[in-house]
Amino acid sequence: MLTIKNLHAAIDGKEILRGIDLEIKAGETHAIMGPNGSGKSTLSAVLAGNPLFTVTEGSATFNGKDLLAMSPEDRANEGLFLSFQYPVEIPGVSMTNFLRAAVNGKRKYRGEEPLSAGDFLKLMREKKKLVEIDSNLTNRAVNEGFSGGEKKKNEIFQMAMLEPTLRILDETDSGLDIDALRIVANGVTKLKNEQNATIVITHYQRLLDYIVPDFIHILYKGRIVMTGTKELALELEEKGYDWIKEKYQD
Amino acid sequence: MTLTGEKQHITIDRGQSETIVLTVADTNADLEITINGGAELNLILKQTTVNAKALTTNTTINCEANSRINISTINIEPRNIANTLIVNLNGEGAEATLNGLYVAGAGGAIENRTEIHHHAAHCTSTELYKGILDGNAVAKFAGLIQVAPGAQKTAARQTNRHLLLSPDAHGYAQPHLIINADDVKCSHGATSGQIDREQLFYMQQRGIDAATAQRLLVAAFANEVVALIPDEATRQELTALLSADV
Amino acid sequence: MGKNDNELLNDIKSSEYKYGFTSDIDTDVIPRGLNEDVIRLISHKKNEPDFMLDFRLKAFRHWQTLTVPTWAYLNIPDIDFQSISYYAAPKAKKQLNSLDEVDPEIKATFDKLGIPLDEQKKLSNVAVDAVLDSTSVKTTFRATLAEKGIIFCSISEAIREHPDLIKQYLGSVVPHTDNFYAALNAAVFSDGSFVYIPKGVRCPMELSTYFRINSMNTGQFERTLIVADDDSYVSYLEGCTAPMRDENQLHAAIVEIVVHDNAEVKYSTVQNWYPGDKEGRGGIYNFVTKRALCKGVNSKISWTQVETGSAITWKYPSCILKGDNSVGEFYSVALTNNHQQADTGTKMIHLGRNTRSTIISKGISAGYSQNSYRGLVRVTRNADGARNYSQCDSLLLGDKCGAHTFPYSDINNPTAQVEHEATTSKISEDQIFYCNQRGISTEDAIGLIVNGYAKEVLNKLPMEFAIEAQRLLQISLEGSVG
Repeated sequence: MLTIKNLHAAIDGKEILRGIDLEIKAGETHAIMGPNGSGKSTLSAVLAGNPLFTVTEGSATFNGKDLLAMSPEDRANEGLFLSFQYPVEIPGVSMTNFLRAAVNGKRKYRGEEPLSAGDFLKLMREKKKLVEIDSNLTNRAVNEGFSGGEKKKNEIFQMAMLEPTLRILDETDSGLDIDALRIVANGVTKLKNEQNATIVITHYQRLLDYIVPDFIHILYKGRIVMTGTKELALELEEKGYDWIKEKYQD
Repeated sequence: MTLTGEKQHITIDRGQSETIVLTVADTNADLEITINGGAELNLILKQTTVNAKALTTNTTINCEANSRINISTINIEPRNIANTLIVNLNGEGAEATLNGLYVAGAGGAIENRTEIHHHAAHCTSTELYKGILDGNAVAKFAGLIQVAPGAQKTAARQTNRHLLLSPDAHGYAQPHLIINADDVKCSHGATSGQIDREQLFYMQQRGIDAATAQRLLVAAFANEVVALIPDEATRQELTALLSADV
Repeated sequence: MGKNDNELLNDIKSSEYKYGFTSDIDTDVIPRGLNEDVIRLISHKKNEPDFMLDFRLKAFRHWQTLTVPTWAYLNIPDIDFQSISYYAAPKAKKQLNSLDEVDPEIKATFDKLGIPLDEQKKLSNVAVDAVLDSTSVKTTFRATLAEKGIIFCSISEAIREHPDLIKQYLGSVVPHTDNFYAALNAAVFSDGSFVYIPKGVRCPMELSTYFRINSMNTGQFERTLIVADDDSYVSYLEGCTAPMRDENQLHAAIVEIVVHDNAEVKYSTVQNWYPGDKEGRGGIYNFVTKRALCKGVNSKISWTQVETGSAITWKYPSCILKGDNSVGEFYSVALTNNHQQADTGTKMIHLGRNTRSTIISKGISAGYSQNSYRGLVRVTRNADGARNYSQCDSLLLGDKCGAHTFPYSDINNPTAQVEHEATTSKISEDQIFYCNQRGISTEDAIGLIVNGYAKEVLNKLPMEFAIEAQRLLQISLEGSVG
């Protein structure tokens, strides 16, 4: 589904990603872990096409297409969804209008007719139920005045609405209490199937108790320095990141 | 009521409440309004079709004790329009709300000059003017709040925001305060900026194309004013004019 | 309350304008009046090269075509420019080369002002250029500075000794055509300071000019020029006082600053010209044009001013942000009491890319005074990524004074982020009551609260000045509480 080769990226002239190689197939869950500042969030931002970052070298192919050549909205419509670490507030734009634009944007991209207002509202109701989100969240402006937990739940709700094939969860567990963490993780798990894949970016092991990865990659100084299975996360939890830092100092 | 271009007088009698919607199309407005004690007026001065010739609107409003004025000045695609609005808060406890929205594109020129004179104590004024400027539009907002000696317990807040969509758009702001009483709370704020890049990216990440996302964000910017207009029909008309086709 | 605070408050109660004395110095004053002959005389007295006389005459001829500006929110009485003497200088017995040769009376005057000209009694780590009426009487620490290639001298001397630098920079930031008072200053300016910091040099001490008006019926027209070459840094302080007199006296100065690539200049002022008496008699008319050009990339200028003096202040220290990534800052406290009037603020002109500016203005009005902030933020078409933040607060003490705010913004670039906030309010009764309850008198409480209100700006001043400024604010407020 996604093939990343020798990916380099920079912000303000400073190189953050220094040669990433990664292969992700449908049905798989990959966790990307690493100490702060290792480039985890940059990787997700670059894949989603955040214009703040510049790709300086390498390639990323998504479903056979050149991902890096696409606009952010085309990447989304191809099935790439990023659950943001810090979802931005958009005052004045209601959740309903926002999601309708998103859902119909995707349908248009595929050459489908827009959903009628009735069908759209019905879809919202179903998905809200699926991810256990309070119905009043959708009556408000996008993320405006949401608590940290509400923002993350809202990301998962949007994921349910848009049914992406590649789900990138950027530090989705940060700032969540245990109940919110469970709701978010359950949402992600419920929505998992053989056609989609998941990249979980996290600093800690605890999210991986709920979303069990097939592979764990350790990112350090802009490179994947180690790949293993879920046991690697337990080892990290126990030993911390210092031994990684020591081993891959340069 | 329609505009004649001549001086027109409106008086709201004691204790009465009225809503007047005036459409500015090809005639200047020259209004002299008195709102008597305890009376209330909602006035909407709107231009929603491109005007063929240069227009001016001059409105002077005299507010007596405990009266309320709520005035909305709306200009969509104006061509050389100058609005002057003078509000005199003459009696204690009078309350003025001034809202303005201007959406100007290529060839557009719009000037809003407002003066709120707090002559009496215990009066409140709230002012919000927002402008969306595209093409080579030029907009000027000159807002004065003046508090006379003795007009204690005045509360006045004025806000002006410009959203610039094009490198050729030009926004001027002159939010002025002249304060001659000490027991007052007066403030103003003015900003100029463009569409927030982070919000735009977030929407694109959800598959909304850049043009639609921008339209939604522009409409949201305008909606803050639209929502304050005390007339359902006008709100609907503006929402339709501004709404993104999604 | 600490001991220092108590001492400070005691000082306040006992003091009025403590710099109001007159010194008996043998002074050379030219007759009142202004014409081309007077300008020739000034230039001649200062032994200036011909190019300076031409500079002055050109400015004078232009000045004659101008009228007094009236746009400020000030009530300025008519000034008879022919009734002023444009040159007054202590009679020099001979060329001054060392401290021993300074007239003892002049030395005593500056001692009394707390500005010792004796390097043994030096202000810690501050080099001073002392200007009395129309001339610089002494510049300290010159040799120490010269070792680093820094030029710090009177502008008269710079005109004679460094004509190339003067020709290159004088009038390059504030041309004589700029405004009425700038033209007048260019025609008749008598003295002031010149600073040149060479490439890569960080000035090892604070540089300071102390301006003192002494003579009657004279105007003071000083001119300061600071040039910071690439990668240099300097912090410059300015202070000023004048005797108490019933007549008004005119002070029309120009400060020009040029900041090259990666250089930084900090310019701090504590302005304490005689403000007039309680009835509004006398005081200095302070009409000043100050402007800095951030010419180079990554250059920075920071203006900090504490304005407590003068009967009328008309002053807008400004920044032209021409170099990409250049930074302009303006921090101001302006306090007016009795019948003082102030119209002061800044201009931030964004020309280069990613230029940033900050404006923090704190106005305090008491008595019958009028205090206005006036500021312009302009972002031109090419200034992509420009940022400005302005915060202008006004505090009113009493119901007979006025506080006014006149910002202008002119934005011609969509990528600019410009934000202006202003508030006007009085000291809350809750705060005063809280202090009263802890045993602090209302007058002392107001002093404390005003200093707290101004702290954000006072903190930007060099230490020695911050203490002086804090004291000044309290003194200036004396008697403002009914």
